[in-house]
Amino acid sequence: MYGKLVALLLAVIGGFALGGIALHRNEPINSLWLVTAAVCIYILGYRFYAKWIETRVFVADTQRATPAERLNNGRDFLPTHRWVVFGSHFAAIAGAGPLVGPTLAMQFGYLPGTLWIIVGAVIGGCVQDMLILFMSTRRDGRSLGKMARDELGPMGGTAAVTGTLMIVIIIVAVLGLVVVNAMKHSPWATATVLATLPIAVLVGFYVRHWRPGKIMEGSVIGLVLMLGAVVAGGAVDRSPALHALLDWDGVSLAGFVIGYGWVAAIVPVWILLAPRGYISTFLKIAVVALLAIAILVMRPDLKMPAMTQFVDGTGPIFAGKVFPFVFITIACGALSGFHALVSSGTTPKMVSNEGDIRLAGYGSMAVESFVAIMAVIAATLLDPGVYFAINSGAGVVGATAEAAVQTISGWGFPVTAEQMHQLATDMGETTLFARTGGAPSLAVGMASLFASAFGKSLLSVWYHFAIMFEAVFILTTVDAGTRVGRFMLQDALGHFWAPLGRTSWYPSVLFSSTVIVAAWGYFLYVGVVDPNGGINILWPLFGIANQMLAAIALAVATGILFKTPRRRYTWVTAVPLAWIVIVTTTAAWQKIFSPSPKLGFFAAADDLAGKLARGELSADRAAVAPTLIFNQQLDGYLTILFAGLMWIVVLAMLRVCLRQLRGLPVPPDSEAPFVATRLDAAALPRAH
Amino acid sequence: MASTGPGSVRQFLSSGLSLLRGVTGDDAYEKYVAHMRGTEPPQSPMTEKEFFRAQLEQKWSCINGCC
Repeated sequence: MYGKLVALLLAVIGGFALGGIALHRNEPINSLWLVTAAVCIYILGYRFYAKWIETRVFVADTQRATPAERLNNGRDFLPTHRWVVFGSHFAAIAGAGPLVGPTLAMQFGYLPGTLWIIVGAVIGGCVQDMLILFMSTRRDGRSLGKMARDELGPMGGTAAVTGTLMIVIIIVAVLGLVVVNAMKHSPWATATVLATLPIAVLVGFYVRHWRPGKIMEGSVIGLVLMLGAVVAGGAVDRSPALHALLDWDGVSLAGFVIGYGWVAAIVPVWILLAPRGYISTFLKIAVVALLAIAILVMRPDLKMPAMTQFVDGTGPIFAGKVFPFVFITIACGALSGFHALVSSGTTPKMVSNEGDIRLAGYGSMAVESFVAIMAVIAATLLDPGVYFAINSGAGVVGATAEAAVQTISGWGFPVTAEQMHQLATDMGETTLFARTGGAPSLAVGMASLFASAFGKSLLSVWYHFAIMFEAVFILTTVDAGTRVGRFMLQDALGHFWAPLGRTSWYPSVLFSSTVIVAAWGYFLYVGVVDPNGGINILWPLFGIANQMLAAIALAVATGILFKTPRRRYTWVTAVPLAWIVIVTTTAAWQKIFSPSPKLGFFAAADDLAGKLARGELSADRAAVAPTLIFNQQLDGYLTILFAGLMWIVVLAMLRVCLRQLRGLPVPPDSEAPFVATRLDAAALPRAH
Repeated sequence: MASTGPGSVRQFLSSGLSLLRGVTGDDAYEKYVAHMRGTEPPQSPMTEKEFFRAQLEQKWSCINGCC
C-alpha cells in the first residue's frame, strides 16, 4: 500500500514536471524541472516496467545457476555482488558519448533531445541493455555476434561482426576529432593532456612492479597527479616560451593522436591502457557525482529556447531535420547499440543471480541517461549565442569573430565579439570560436557550474579540468577501440592465413594494428582539414552506425523472444526495434539521396567537385577539395553499407519468425541447460 | 542511538570503499585466492604478480567499454 502511494506520487510529480517542460514557452525554465522529470520517470520505469519485464517477459529464475557460478574460475567468471556488477557495468558503458551527443543536439533546443533521452532510455536503451545482458547470461556469456549467428543464422552473425568492426573505427575517429578540437591552439589543454601520458605510465609501473595489483593506491596517486597537471598547465600557458612550444594546429594534433594511438596499440596494456582505465573509472564516478551536486546546488536556468528554428534542418552544427537526426545524434544516453557489446561481454560473467540483472542492465543505463540530462543542462545554461559561437564551424558562420557574431546574432541569438573574448580569457583560452565537437562548450558549461557552486575564482582551472576529464575518457576509447579492432581484424584474417590470426605473433600484431590505426586516422585527418569542422560529417555517420548496432541487438533479442513461450510479449523489443529501424533508414536515405549539399554525402561531393572545376574555391580550399570529395563519397558508401547490414539482420530475424509461424525448422534456442544454483545468497562475496 | 550513529557512518564508508574496490578490481586477487582455496581439491593460486598480468591480458582483449 505504502509502495503504491509512493509510486503514485512519483507518477504525478514526474508527469507534472514532464508536462511543465513540454508546455513551457518563451521564458527560461529551471533545470530542476528536467532533473525531477527524469528521476521520477527512471524510478517508475525501473520499479514497474523493468520489474514487469523481469517477471513476465524473460522470467528471471533466482534458482538457476548463472555462468559466473557454473564456470567460476576465480577470474573473469566470478559471482559478484550486485552493486559491484552495477558499478562495473555503468563504468563500462558511460564515457564521452552521453556527454557529446546531447551537447550537439541542443541546436534544436532543449525539448526534443530531453524527451528522447528520457523516453528513449526508459523504453529503448534500458530494455535493450537488460535483455541482452539476460540473454547472454543464459548463454554462458556469449557475445552479440555469436548470439546473432546461433539464433538468426550465419548471415546475421557476419553482419553483426562486420558492423561492430566498422563502428569501432568510426567511433575512435570521431572521438579523436573531439579531443583534437579541444586541444587546438590551446597550450594549457595540450600540456595537461600530454602530462596524463607519463602519469599513466607511472601508475602502470606502480601497480605492475612496485605494488602489484594495488589498483586503488595507483588510481588515487594518478588522480592527484592529474589534478596537479591541470593546475601546472596554467603555468605552462603563462610562460611565453612554453606557450609557443605547445600551441599546435589541428593537423599536428591529429598526427600526434594517430602516432600515439599506434604506439599505445602495440605496447603492453599495463604501460598505458590499463592504468588510464583505472584513473578514468575514478574520474567518471567523481565527476558524475560532482555534476549532480553542482546542478542541485545551483539549479541554473536553461537559456536555450525549447525549440529553435533549426528543427527545419538548417542547423549550423549538423544538417538535417529534428526527425530523424535528434535520434541519430543522441545515441549514448537514450539507446546505444554499443552497450549491447558490453552487456554480452564482461558483465554476464559476473552476474551471480538472474535477479540482479535488472539493476545492472536497466539501472546502469538509467544512470547513463541521467548523465546525458546533465550534459543537456550544461549546454543549455550557456547563452544560446555563445553555444552556437563555440559549436559552429568556421565554414558555416564565418572565419572571423566579427563575421561569426554577425551571422549568429542574425539568427536571433545575440552574442558579441567582446563577450566571446571575455569568456575565452576567463577560461584561459585564446579563442572559443568554432571549437566544434562539443567538448569545449560542455567544459564551459561545467566550469560555470562548478565555479559558481565551488568557488568562482577558478573558472579556467575548472574548464581545463573538464577538458582533461573528457580527454582521459576519449584516449582510453582510442586505445581500447584500436585494440579491440585489431583482435577482430586478426580473427577475420586468420580465416585466410592462419598465422595472421595468432594474437600474440608480433608481425601480425604490428600489421593489424597499423591497418586499424590507418583506418580511423584517415577519418580523423579528413575531419581536421574540413573547414566545416568535420564533426558535422562524422557524428551523424557515427550515430547511424551506433543505431544500426542497436537495431541488430534488438533484432537478436526479438528473434529470441519470439522463440519462447512468451511470444505475445515480443513487442517489448519489437517496438523500439521498429522505431530505430525507421529512424536509421530515414537518416541513411537522406544522407545518401538528399540533393542538398549540406545534408547528402554524394550531393556534397558533386557540389564541391563542381566548385573545384569552375575554379570557385580559394587556393587553400582547392588544395584539400579532392580529399574532401573522396571522403564524402566514401561516407556515402559506408552509410549504404550500414543500412544494408541492419536490414540483413532484421530480415534474417523476420525470416526466422515467419518460418516458426509456419512450423518450419529454425535454429534451436541456444540457451544453456538449467542447473540449480548452490550459491547461498548470504555466503556471496558481499560489498561490505 | 548515540552508539549506532558513528557505527553506521563507518559501516556506510566501509561498504562504499569495498564497492569501489570491487568496481576497480582492487580486490580481484583476494577473491581469486579465496576461490582457488575453496575448490575441491584446493588448487595452488598464482602469485599476485602473475595473476595481475594474466588478468590484464584478458580484460583488454575484448570489448569492455563503450564510448
